Amino acid sequence: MIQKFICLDCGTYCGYSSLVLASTLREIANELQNSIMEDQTEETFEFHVYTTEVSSKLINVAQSVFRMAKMEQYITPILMKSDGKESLSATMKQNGVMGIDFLLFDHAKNLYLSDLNDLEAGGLLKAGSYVSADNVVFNKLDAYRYHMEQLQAKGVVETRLDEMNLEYSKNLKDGIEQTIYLKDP
Amino acid sequence: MEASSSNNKQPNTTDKITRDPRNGAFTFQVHAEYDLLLQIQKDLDAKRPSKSSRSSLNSLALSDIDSTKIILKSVDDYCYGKQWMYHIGSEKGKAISRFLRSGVERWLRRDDRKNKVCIYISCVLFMMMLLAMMYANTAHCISFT
Repeated sequence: MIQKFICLDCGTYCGYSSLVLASTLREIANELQNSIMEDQTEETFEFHVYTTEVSSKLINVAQSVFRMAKMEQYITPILMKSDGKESLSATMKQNGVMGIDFLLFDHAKNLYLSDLNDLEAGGLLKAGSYVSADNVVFNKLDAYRYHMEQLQAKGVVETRLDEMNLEYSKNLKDGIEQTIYLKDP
Repeated sequence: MEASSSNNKQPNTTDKITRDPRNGAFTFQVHAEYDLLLQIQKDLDAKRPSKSSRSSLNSLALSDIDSTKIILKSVDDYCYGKQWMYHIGSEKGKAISRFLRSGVERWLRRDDRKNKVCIYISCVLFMMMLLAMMYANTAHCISFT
């Protein structure tokens, strides 16, 4: 059975970030396919992107965007309840996801840490999982960054802050916390 | 918030902010998402090969990767030129894409993944040996009868 590389993008909005993930993975798949044709490697690469959103209106917009991009077969949007009480790990398991290789947080800022803890406790994040968390500087997500620093001190993760401007602005500072799990949490 | 008159402005095609300051960071327009969809469709149509140049095999149709690049550029142009929205944008998009790429490279080298391939190959070899032994036994029996 071929293992798939699984991404979870929390916060679909209009589908921009899911398209960034899916197009990067499609490019990698093409590169590996070309390598196979040149007999340099025997690797095959399959992937899937899941994305969660609380607004049905935005899910519809994103699905239109995915169709226009011809990427709908690689991306599954999942509508979540807006009260924040639904367990993300349980929802993912209901959709057949048993592990997440790449996680992007760009949804409700107050849910980053609780969703991370839920995914850790649910066994979906493991050694080798990568996690990007957007807006940690602009939204001052110090508790999330502190949690990652604590995990780093214990040798569970490697984490760094990529500082850059807030999207489509010139003077507003922001950053992405980029974390790699070295051990199972 | 009602859509302002500046919403009639065309999006720009560079990373410079040319939108009306009233449409800056953390301002929101009603139905901006649908306006964006129309802009994306317009930009995709402009990049598609014309009917006269399109081959019967549709070989000139845009690939998924090409379509996606056009869409991401269209969204960026819209947000710099017309209305700020909270997509991750091109700068963060590139940073996340690089990080994802390093994650995939690591995933492809994973020991447990390689071990699974080794187990699979071992199983196939074992089955082949078993079949060879069964065939040899059958041939041996036939030679005695």
